Amino acid sequence: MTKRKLTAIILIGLLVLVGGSYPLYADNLSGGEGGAFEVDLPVSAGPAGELSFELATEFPEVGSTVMVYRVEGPDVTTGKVIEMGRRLGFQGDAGFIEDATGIAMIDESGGEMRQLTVWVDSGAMEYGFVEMDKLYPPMPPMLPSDGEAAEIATRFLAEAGLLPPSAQVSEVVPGGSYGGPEGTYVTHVLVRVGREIDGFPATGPGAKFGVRIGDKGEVVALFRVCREVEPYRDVSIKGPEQAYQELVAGGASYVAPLECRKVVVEKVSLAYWMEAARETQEYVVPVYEFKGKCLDKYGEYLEDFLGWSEAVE
Amino acid sequence: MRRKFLYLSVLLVLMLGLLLVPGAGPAGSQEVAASGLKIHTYYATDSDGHLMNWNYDYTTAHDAASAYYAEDTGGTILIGQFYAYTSYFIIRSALYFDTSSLPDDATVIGATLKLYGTADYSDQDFYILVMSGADLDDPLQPEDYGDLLNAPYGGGLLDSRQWTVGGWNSISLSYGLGGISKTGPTKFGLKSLNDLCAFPPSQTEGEHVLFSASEGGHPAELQVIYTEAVPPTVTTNSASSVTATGATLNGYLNDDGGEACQYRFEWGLTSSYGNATPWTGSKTSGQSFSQSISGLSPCTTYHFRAQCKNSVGVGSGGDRTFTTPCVPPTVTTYSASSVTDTSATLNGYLNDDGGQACQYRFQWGLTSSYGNTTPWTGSKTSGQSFSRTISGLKPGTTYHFRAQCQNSAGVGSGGDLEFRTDNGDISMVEVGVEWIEHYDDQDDLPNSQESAEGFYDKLLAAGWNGRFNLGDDWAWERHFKRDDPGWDGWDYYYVDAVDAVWFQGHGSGGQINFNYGEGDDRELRSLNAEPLDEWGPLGWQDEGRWGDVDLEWMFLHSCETLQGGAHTEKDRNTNFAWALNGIHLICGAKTKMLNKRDGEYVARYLLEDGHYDPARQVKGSWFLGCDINQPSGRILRVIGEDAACGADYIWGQGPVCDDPTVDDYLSWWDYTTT
Repeated sequence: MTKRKLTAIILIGLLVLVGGSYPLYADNLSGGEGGAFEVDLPVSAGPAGELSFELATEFPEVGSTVMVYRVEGPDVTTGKVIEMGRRLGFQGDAGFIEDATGIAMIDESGGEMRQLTVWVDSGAMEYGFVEMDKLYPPMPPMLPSDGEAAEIATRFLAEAGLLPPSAQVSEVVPGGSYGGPEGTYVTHVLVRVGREIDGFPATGPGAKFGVRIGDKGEVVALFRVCREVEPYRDVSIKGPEQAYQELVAGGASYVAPLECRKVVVEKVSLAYWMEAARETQEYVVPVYEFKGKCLDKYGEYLEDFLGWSEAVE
Repeated sequence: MRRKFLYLSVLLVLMLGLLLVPGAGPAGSQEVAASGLKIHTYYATDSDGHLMNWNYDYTTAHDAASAYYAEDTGGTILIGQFYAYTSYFIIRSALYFDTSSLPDDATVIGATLKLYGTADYSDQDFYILVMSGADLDDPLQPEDYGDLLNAPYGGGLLDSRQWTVGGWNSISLSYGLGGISKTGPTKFGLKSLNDLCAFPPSQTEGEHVLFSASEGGHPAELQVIYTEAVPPTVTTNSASSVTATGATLNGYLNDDGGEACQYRFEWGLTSSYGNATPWTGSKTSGQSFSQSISGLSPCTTYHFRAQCKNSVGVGSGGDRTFTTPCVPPTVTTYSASSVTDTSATLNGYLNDDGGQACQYRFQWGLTSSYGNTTPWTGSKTSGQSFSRTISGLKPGTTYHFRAQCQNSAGVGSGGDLEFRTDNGDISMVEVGVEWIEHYDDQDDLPNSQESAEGFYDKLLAAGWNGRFNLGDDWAWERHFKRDDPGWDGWDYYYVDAVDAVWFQGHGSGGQINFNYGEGDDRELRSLNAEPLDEWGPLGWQDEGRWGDVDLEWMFLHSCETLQGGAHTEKDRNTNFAWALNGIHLICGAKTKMLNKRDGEYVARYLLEDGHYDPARQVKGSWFLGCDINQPSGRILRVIGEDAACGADYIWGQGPVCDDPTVDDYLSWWDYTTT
């Protein structure tokens, strides 16, 4: 073999190697500019190392890749906040608050001060009465039924232009309670609005979209984190079995009470992780979400279990 | 006899007609002049003439259908009847005038027919009648003899004794004036009253006169007196029934101009008006009219004028004004702002000024009877807010106040509101935080320091004093532990020596966890041991006794610290209930919390940050601040000695309750994160 032939073989070998490995490299290329699609999962809160897990469901069928989304904007300006405020009956101007991290409006036209705040980093909005009497009235309020509450919330959001097509009421729960020597009662209800991205639910501290409804069906507060997203690119993901094993091995994030000794996992699903309302988020990345029940040492139900593990390989 | 009766009757009717027909006499001539009286003279056409018939039998001559001959070209025209040559002669005349030049809207109110007399052959007095000649042919035909006979009424009457030869004879036409045509010829017939009544002349009587025909040089004249419609004239009368928002406008139609008129009113803020009521009604001269308008503003001067219109045009009355009365303003009292220990800014909003710029003031005092007022000041109009700062208040005191505005009509008051002054100068208030990130026997909590110091730094930036900021192995359980004899705690020098404390670390039902020390020293427990147990076997579980010195608010950012049933008696299972020992509120969680950087966010809600970001109450700040980062479904809980402290703001941001009296009961508030 001549030196020239040897060189050619080496070059061809290198080309084959580079060409053959390129798809794998591309699949694993993560982050907008080559960085990782990292998810800042919270530190677990629960009885570390003392939990056993029981899988009471089947793993979902998922593909080998899933879309990562890129967050659009948010484009938060005083003009847009004023426009939103007008739809909620606010008068007057808007102004920056908290070192320009938010833009807020105040309205006292109804005799009670209301505030609308939109956070610049996320576009999340918060609306409600400044005084807490609407959320915690001094007398037992007349609260709507769950169905009525869902209808009130849906109508309120639709009229304010705050209900995207991919969102709908997911549940109605007690939002607040009061107890004192004079009695105990639910003070308002919380209508949660669930949002899906490409058929998968949003999850995490930023998956928050709720309307609080008080006495006589009045909408007394709203917290809405609803980042606009656009498809970015497909990434390879691990399978749900692997994700579950990471949960069992303590490699995932979860919330469980200290008395919890056993977790019965009743649902494993892909979900899109949303950062908290005041965080800047560039990409929306899939995670595995585990839902189930926490049981104490006697096998009694304590509270619902919620856990996450990263899905992107 | 019967014939004479008929004669007299016809004569009477004709003469009465002269007197009774409207517009025939001097009466009303002034109105006619105001409406545009006009006179036009027409001359008989040259086809005028007369019809003559004769017969030895009077009846035959009188009732014939046609004349013996018709004369329309001669120089004279005859009227009357006579007997000659053994026959009775009857002569009837016809006159034609082209009156088509009369305006279409002319109203004929009178006419005079003038005949130039050329001869009088009457031996007996007789009356010359002017009758309608509508059926006459033009030029005259013999057959017209009967037609004239059959048109038995006319408009004028002349006694032959007044007949002037060589001069003009006027016959005033008083009725039947509608026969004067505005589109074509007007035809008159003339005959004697005896002819009309078929009274034959005696064989010695001559009852006929002659007058000049057209061809005779003095054609008959017809003077037509008519009016032509003109725009009405109107008077604007004073407005009546004037209220703050409405009025009745009045007008008077002096002259309808010859036609019934519609009316309306123009009105507005100036004499250019800008508004008008709709045209309506059908009024004639001398009638009043009115219309009501509404939607006016109080205390405002309006201009208006009456208008009437007929087919010719619109007549307008003069400009008048009225002023709506003022009404007292309506006011809303807004919540007080910038409340300090000795001062507050009172706020109000002028919903409606009642039409007049208003002065404002505030009433304030310890009760809703107030007792103090700010001076009247300012000049506010609808939609404007106003405020006044009052000072010299007593710290920690609840005040009532309300906004008032006044104009010339009276005073409007807003509702009663309250505010409570701060208890004191925040230069003396203090904050302390303790946090643990590293645990030897539990998971590390990497956000604890940043979160706790975020809370700490925000309050310091707001003017608070930092008393301690201790982390990891410098955060000790005894800093939170009661300092009663036998308890070995130092809370008197730490948590109970400050006004607000933030703890962030591990926790569980009724306890918070530290990393420093051994055994019980790593756990601060408050498990609701009943009071009698505190020195007994369960005493070790009752280590918290907060608020007996200074502490008002404790924030426990830990899992499940306030876990347990939501009871309202302290001898039941509500954790940290017996730590309520003068402290106002303990903020914690019933469920797990994630170790997030919530401290800064809670502090941001606690503090006012300008006009757009008012301070929130303590419990609201805890709920909303934690809701930002905590996942859905977490239950945050706040407990307090009594419900009044649930409305606490922190010092310097709003009212703070008096230190509560410790008893066996508590209040709690739960919040489910969104």
